[in-house]
Amino acid sequence: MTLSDNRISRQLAGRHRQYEPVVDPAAMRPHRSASTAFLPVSAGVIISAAGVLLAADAYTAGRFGYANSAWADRAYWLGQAFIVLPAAALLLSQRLIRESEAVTLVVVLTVAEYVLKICYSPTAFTFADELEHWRSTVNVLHSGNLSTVNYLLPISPHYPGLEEVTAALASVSGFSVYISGLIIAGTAHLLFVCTLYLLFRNISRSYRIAGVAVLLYSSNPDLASFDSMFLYQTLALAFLGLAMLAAWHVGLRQKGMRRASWLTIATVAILATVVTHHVTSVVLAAVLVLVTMTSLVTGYRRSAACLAALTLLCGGGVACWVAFAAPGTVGYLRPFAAGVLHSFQGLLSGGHIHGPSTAAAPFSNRVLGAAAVLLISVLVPIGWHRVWRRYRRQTWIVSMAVGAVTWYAIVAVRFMAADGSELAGRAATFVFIPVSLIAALGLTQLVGVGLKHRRRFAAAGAVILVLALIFNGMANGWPPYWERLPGAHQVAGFERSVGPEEIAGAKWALATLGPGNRFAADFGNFPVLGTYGDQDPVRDDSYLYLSSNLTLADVVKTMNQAIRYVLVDRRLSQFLPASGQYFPDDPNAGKYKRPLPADGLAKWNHVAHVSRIYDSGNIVIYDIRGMQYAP
Amino acid sequence: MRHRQVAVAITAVVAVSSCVTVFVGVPILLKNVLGIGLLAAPGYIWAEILLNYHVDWLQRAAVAVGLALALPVLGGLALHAAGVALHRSAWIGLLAALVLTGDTILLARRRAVRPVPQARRPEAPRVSVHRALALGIAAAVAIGALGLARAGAVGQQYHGFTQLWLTTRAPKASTVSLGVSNHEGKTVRYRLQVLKARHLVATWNLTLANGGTWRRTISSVGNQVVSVNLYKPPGSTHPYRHVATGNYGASGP
Repeated sequence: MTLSDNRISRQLAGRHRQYEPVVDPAAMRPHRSASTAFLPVSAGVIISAAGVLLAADAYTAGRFGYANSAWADRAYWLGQAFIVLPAAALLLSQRLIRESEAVTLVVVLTVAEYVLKICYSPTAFTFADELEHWRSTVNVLHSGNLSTVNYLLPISPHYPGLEEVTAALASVSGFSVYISGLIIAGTAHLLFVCTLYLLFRNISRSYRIAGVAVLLYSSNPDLASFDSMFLYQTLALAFLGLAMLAAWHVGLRQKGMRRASWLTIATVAILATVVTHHVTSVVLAAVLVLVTMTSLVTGYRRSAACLAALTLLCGGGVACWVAFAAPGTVGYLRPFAAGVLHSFQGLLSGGHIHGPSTAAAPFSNRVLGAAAVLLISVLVPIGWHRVWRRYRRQTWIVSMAVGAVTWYAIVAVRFMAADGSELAGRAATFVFIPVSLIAALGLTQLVGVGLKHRRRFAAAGAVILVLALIFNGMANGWPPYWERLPGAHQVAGFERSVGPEEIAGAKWALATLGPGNRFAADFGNFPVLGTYGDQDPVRDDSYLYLSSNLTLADVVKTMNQAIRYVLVDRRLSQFLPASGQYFPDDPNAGKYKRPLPADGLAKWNHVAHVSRIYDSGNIVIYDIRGMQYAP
Repeated sequence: MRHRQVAVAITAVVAVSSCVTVFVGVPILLKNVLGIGLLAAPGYIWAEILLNYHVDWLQRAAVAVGLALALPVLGGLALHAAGVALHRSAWIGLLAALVLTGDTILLARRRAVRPVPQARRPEAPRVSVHRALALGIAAAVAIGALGLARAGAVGQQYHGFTQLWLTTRAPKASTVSLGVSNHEGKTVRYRLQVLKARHLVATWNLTLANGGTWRRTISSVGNQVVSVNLYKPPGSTHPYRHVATGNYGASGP
């Protein structure tokens, strides 16, 4: 028996007899009793909290002018080490831990990283995607209508789950949208991690393997950022986790009432996923198809029938929702799908496509990224071997093993396809679910073998390996290295491009010009204008800033794009873009060697019948409605 | 069974109290607490209804939280489809209805269904004193970290700025709206000059506190170019801010 799963196995094995009992000698065995533990869980909890404080201190230092200081950077990484180390050390150590301790470690790790995420923007949302959903929620609160247009994220009103539950909390509690959003996103994030843990625990029948799998999932670069932000995917992931957990229960051999209960829970979770996020609902449908097929192959036909019903519900729900409620989904996702398809076509034809590179990551980050890819690529086959030897009759683990193949697909995309890092990053949230479990099986296999031969460094090596993976996720995840610490304004950045002057300008636009005006703006002002300002900014507008003269073609294009106002940030002529691009759709992304020419920004002062209607120093807004072409 | 009766009573009280707050004003702190309770209650109650058998505490908690998040999503959509505006009263009505319906079902089940023996019901693990103490210390440290980060964000120094604007409803409107807003972080004295067709027609000396705003509506004639220069401090020769309507190229700074 594994050291960790005695109680779980007793509880589950008797009721779930269609699965063979798991006897797993390769799992880690206790060599010490709990009383000789080198680090109590309680101490680990406090160390993690101290890590949060240390990293928050680094954030504060960044805000007070030390964003580029080496010691502030070191303090941040030391804080992260304090947060992660206790969970990694305890879950991978030789000591016996109870399930409550494993759960505590998983929860503390998740909560600590979420608190740190709040510390990055502790007074308001600043990330563009979060601001988009903030705008949608404000619209729901003001109008009471879910269909209010969101100019920056037009698909958002068609997937209103996040906005609904946040508006509900804000309405009934009186909290601001920001506080309500943090509560909802944080709760959903923790729920997602807990449902992953439960799913891993139930299907591996080992809470230590589940804990290690969640630890490995934490190396997903998006978990502590995009998957915990105030985004519709964050909430949908919680529903996806609950739906998978309920589907696992539905697939068990059990009495009708219990199955009906889990069927109800699965139905609610599936429907909630479908109306909350497009990609997540499609992924859920794919997962259910895979598990149903695996169930058939492994010979559990009754389970397959129940899972097929859930698959039909999910697939039908997605199809109906897209057809009748969110017809814009296809058009919204088409560019992403076309990009992926194009990349794969390039790969299959033997090409090696490079997209426009943005700011190149430091060498250390790239080395860490390559090492992480190598480590997981090695662990997954070891996990497959273990699945074949021990779990090949278990539907869900076999499904996870099949799903883990996608890891190699995203590795290929990451290194060989155009804009591969972006695509691989977005896919990582889903791909890491099966990969983390299979890699955890592989890792615990290695550690078990090491301990069997009395090689105590095996556990220490595993801890170092997991830390390397998690630090890779942080270093190459979000925020990017050039915005690791909050600080002074950066041109064409993300969170650091959202400051009082930008927000004041956007609010002025909403109050004075009204909502929904077509605006030209740079990369940094684009999300602020579209959210705080509720304007309709244009993505393809670089031609309005790059040349020192306005041509007839430019005038025609502005008319075709129905642009009414042009926002000029004078700092574009003083600094290079932090993100590598000055504009949302920038043909020169990653190629800028010097700031934009000042005369390209100032030309609007001399165009006939263009009014200069707003000036706050760095930001100037021009009204071009009466513009005439005058070469 | 006793804990379930207590839960039914508490959730019913939360639901009814929240309904009362639609008509009666309550302190914001009480509103906060009731609001969180009302959002969480449907998930808890319906998890109790659906998982009326042996399920460990963590799975039960996960289902309760999941339902607490999912029910407002699906319920809100149903209300929206029914043409109900999703304002505060609608949300409170929806959540209270879910809670009270669940409570009624649970109470009705009390006699209809044989209860699961207490010995078979998995219990939440007991938290030892030192673990509770550690969690408390960790929570305090995390709250301290949040406070530190918030203080840093509030105290972060930004370059102050002043907004100057001049807008018209239409390109050839007869009036234009003029405004100045001070965000310099301190009280500032300005001199504002309005020029029409390059001739000075008005001057104002303004003193605005931080956050203060000054507005005027001035007349304009057809194609006449109106330009406005804002100076800081008074006596400065180069405009600090400049706006203009129409083709003002020759009169610009």
